[in-house]
Amino acid sequence: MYELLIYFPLLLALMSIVLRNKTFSVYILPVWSIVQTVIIFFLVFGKFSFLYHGTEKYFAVDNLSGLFLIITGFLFIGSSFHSIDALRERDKRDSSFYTFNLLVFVFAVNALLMSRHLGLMWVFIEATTLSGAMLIYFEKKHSSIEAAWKYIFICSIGVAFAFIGIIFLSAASTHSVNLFFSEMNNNAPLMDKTWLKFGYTFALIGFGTKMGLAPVHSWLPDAHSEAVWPVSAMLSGALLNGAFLAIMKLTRITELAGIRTFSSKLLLVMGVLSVLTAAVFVQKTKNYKRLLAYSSIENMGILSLCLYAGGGALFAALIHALGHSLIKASLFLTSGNIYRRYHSKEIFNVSGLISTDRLSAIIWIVSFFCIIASPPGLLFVSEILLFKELMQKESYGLIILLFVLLAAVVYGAAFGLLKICVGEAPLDVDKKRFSLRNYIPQIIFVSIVIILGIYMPASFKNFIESALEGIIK
Amino acid sequence: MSAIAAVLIGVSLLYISTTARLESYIKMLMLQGILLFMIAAGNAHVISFSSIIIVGVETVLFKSILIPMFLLKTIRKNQIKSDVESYFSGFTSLFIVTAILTLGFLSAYLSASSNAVLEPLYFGISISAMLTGFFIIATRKKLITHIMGYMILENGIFLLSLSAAKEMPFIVNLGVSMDIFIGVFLAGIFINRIKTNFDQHDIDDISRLKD
Repeated sequence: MYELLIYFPLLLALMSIVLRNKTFSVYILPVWSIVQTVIIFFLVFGKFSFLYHGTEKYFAVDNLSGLFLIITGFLFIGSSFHSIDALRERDKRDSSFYTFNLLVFVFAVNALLMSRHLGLMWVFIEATTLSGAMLIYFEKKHSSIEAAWKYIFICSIGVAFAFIGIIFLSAASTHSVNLFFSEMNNNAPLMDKTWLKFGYTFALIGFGTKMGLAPVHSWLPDAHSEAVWPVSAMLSGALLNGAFLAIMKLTRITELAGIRTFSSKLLLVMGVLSVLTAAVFVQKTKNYKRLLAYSSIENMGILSLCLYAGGGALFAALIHALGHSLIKASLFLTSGNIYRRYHSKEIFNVSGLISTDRLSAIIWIVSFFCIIASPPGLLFVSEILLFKELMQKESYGLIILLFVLLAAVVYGAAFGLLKICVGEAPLDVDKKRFSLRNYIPQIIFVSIVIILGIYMPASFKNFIESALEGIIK
Repeated sequence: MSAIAAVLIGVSLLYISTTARLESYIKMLMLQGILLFMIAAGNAHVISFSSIIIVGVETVLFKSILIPMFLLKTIRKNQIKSDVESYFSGFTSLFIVTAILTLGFLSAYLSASSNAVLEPLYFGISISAMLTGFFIIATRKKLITHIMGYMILENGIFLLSLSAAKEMPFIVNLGVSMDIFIGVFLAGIFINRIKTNFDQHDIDDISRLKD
């Protein structure tokens, strides 16, 4: 049944490019996104588990990949409903081009999340680069060409690094020949430590480029700000998680091989640098979509620090990934509503959102409070868990540093994101009513995050904990 | 035979560092593709016959025919001047790439003493090729030379995977070469767009987005 998630998006992508029918291209996205999410739920929670657990060679759905598949499924529903309006004024050529690339992107993300083989995972991560570049280029403006070029070039070099890392990893494993995660985990204690260290370093830099960790993050603000809003949401919520999953699995191998202190150091450096970069550039940027992109870098830094801390923080990492994806998608999707009203991405050209579009403003403000990890949201829980784990490790210096940097991020983000809600709206603002499909996905995402932040059911906790077993197996 | 081919790849890196013409870069890329195929074929006792076919498609078809032809077409279509435009002079570049080759041989020497299964000569040359690729990307102004630098980097990675002497599964190999091919193809398309939109194709044209 998992094959549906791989073949069907590809098939539909080909159909959209062959048929070149605008209606088909626009409406296949929401239809397939819902079907896909239903399939994912069946795969993860259904009773068909004997069909796919461990029996397949290259692909499998366990609870860990299941969690990320569910996140991707939700985001895809949201962004495909927004795509209907994003494609409204486009001709059939543009629409089919967009649908083709978005479906190929979804195919690549699905396949990468289900991959059990490191080499295959690499192939699909690079495939997301290629389809993503075409999506960033979609608007065909100067700035979008520049962003697409940087994205494809920096990410290709990044994943080339990751491939060097993979070769070193295979050189390290003197006993097992193949690169299946399960085999590598089994053979980890026998691996050559020096080559494993080389391999992990290269792979971390490579997949870290895709994940948006500093100092190899430079493509991220450009790409996220220049892409159309449904694509920004997919990039930030689905793509970055995919690269994080790869890093998480590799870190597990280093743990089993007994060089966890080494990998922890690297994760610490990249994590702190990412939060620092975000803290500095959030103050500087004048573009609200770039500001959201820097916030993604900050959150990826926190995920990296969760991996550094290990233990209970791994639980935090998974719920942080979930919360961040949903909230960031909600912010990016709402940024599309704002952009269509004000025709500008500059913070200083946008004001008075509360008077022009009250519902968007409310979603925007609530999402803002969730993304800065203030109490009702899920990110608050995950960051508290991270700090708790850091307390137990007695790394007080890091805690203080993180508090200062996160406070700086909150200050910068509040200044930029809340400013556009208040004040007088400019006269040329577009005040026409948008259809409800431009609000409902965000409302659902934010509600999930707040409900899970207030009350986390035991079944959800069990699910996350069993997902963590997925990287232990 | 394979050892000579590996050394010739090292020589081609030195040539790339000094030449100032884009056509010579493309010729060197073609040559490297063929040399890589010779190396892979020379190690046929290690890898199976079917994978030789795959490797042949990867190296001869993709690396030394399709991609160079495509790059040449892009150059002609956009009337890119055949001057390379480097930040460094030919002599400085040659000096730096010589240093890179020395470093490569040093790493080959070190790898020979470790217990991992690596072919030292290939390892050294592959490290040199990867670093030279980076050097080309970092010091040349034109975007098309960046793609060529990326191809040199990829050739180095290919040689590295040969030196590890462990076979990737068929499907992974195929996927990797497809990805690289499509990536270069898309980058070429973007160069066309950059040319139409900016009237140039320099790194300076694409540094407007920043904070």
